Amino acid sequence: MSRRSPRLSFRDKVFFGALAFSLLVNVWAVDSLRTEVAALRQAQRSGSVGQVPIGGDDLQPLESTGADPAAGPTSPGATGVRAADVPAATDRTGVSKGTIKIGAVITQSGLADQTPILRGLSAWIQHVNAAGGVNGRKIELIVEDDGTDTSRGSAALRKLVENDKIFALVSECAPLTDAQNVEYLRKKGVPVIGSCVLGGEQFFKNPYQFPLRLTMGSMGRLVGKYVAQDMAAVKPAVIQLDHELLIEMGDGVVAQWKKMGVKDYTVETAPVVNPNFTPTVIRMRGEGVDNVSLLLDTASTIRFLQAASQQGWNPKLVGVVGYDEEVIRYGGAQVEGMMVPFYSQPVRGSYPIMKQFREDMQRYYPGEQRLELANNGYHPAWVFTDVLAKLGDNVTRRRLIDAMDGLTNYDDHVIPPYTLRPGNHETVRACKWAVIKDARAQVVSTDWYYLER
Amino acid sequence: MRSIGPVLILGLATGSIYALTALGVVIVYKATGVLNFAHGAMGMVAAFLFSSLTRQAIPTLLAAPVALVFSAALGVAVAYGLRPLRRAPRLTRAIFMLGLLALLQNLATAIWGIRPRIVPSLFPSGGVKIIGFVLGYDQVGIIVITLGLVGGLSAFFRYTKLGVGIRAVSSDQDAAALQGINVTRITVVAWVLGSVLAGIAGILISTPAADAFSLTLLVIQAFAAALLGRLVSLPATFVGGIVLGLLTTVPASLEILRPHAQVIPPVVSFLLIVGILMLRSETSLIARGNEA
Repeated sequence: MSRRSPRLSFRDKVFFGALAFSLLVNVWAVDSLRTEVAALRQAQRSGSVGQVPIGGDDLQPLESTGADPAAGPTSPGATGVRAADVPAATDRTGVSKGTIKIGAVITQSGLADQTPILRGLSAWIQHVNAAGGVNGRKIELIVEDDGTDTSRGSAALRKLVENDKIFALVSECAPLTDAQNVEYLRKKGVPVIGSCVLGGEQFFKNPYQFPLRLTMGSMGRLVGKYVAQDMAAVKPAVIQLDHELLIEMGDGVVAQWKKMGVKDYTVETAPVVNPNFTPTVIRMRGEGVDNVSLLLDTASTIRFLQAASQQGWNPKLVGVVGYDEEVIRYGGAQVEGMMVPFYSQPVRGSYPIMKQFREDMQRYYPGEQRLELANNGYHPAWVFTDVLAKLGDNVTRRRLIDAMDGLTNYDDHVIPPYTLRPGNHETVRACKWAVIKDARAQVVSTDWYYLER
Repeated sequence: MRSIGPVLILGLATGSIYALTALGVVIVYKATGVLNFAHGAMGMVAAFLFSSLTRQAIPTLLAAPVALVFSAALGVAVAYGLRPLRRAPRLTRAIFMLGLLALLQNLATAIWGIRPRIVPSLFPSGGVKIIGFVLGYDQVGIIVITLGLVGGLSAFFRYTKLGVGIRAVSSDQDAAALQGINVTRITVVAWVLGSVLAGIAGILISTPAADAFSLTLLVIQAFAAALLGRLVSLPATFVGGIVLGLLTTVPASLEILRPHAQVIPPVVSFLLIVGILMLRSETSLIARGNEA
């Protein structure tokens, strides 16, 4: 029997080298996993519908009432905003005589590519500058890529804030980086107009964050109302993915049902990985469930639809990702008739801003196909310059925040007219409903569907 | 528990998935003595490739063989990759397989992303109704294919020259070489067989959607089923898979355990693995290495 030398042989070195390489790749992949989870959250929050043609929507613009900063700044003391949070009234960081410098960290490389958001943002800024800027000031846009790497993203954010000295972040969309830097941005007093924020309602109470969209809870409430009232469900069920945001959405559904007196309902939480819906289908069918709200991702929605189809069960369905091309393609016959909520105007609508958006995208980025996502960059930038224009020559961060907090029944034509106040930066709780028909998501009503009205 | 009938049918269908996954593990172990921890990952790569091909409008019945050819090539690569370690301690080879698992899983993540891939079925939709439960054609297909593979591979090992050669190499590589058997060729064939079986399992069980992590970790259930089959007997592995399917499905149907249904299969599998390894010595497993 030969004794083995304690020293590493060449073969051992090769082996351990390969193992180390595998671990290195593993670390990379774990980071990718987090990024993808963030991307899922972002997608859920953005309500970026319209991956498939949406027909039948040809809405007319509503009256715009706009903001009136001249009405005076809102008192921060009454809103829970700490004194230390309030940027100095004279903070003109990023503002010079001829330019206003803004920035954004947008994920453009790695697994979560938000490049269309950058293009939408850039298209509007180019449009504004081509028209002479805002009150004579050109907008200087500096965009950084976090590469789906939070370390790189945080460094980029600090560069924008401390070196480039930007005035505000606009259409910010680097979900992981953003989640890590909420406190940093608050301390620095940097306004954020439009963002792919994570987490729950606290983001909408942050004095500097203006996400320009709904909370997940409100999205859920809208689903709950539609199921109970418009679909007249007798025994509804909600199946939610075991995921922070979708649970928040499911809580909203249930809260609405309770409010409307629906007592006989079922809630099921499905695991994120590899859920098996066959037992769920058998049980719910046995319980007499007649309506199921699917708060799931694309793959899980398809799994449920196929399980229900296989067992010959045909409840009425609501699917939050029902617009997804893969759901329509692989969901089978069950997809037809599924109701789908969406939370912003489809880009093919006839509103002037949408026509302008399409023209700008065609002019500056003619090859861009993901227009719904691009609009998530264009829309906040449009709101930002619209509010900025009303500030006149005296541009400070404090005045911008006060102006945003003073928006009253403001109509940007992308989402329904909304009012923002300190401590509540959520927009109007409304959505539109589409039905999957002939393998297309088709809008069923031209009016917004409001939660409270 | 509402009705035991559908639960048992579901257990049978689930068990056949475990058995199908375990077959490749057993084949490779029989031939090479290597516990292929990367078996699930190899199947996952085939399934994802199959999915990508079908997205290019390639028919499923053409995409599947192409993906399996890739699986075969992967098997060849693994066989040659392991060649320098053929005299290395068993633990070293096991760690090599763990490294391969991590590598395949993370390369797949880098290429295809972390989100579940939609994998179309090779079978038509619909199914067969049995005591109030519809067993899908895809599930019926898995059961039939698994049974066919068990029968065919058992005959292969028992009656063909190559099969007997694999068993000979499994027993004693040096003695087999002295008998004129090309050990390298036999090892490559075994790995190709194991990898293709992993590919078949990956493609069949991934519908309608699968992600890199859950498919890779299915190897835990595969090991449990394989151990129930003593790691060498294919028919016993099939029975082991079915038993495991029932052991995981029946508890998951109990109302009290329903919230934890998703963790029951790996937990039960893990307990089975630990229990079997404690009750049986490794030598008793190897001693039966020549069973078909």
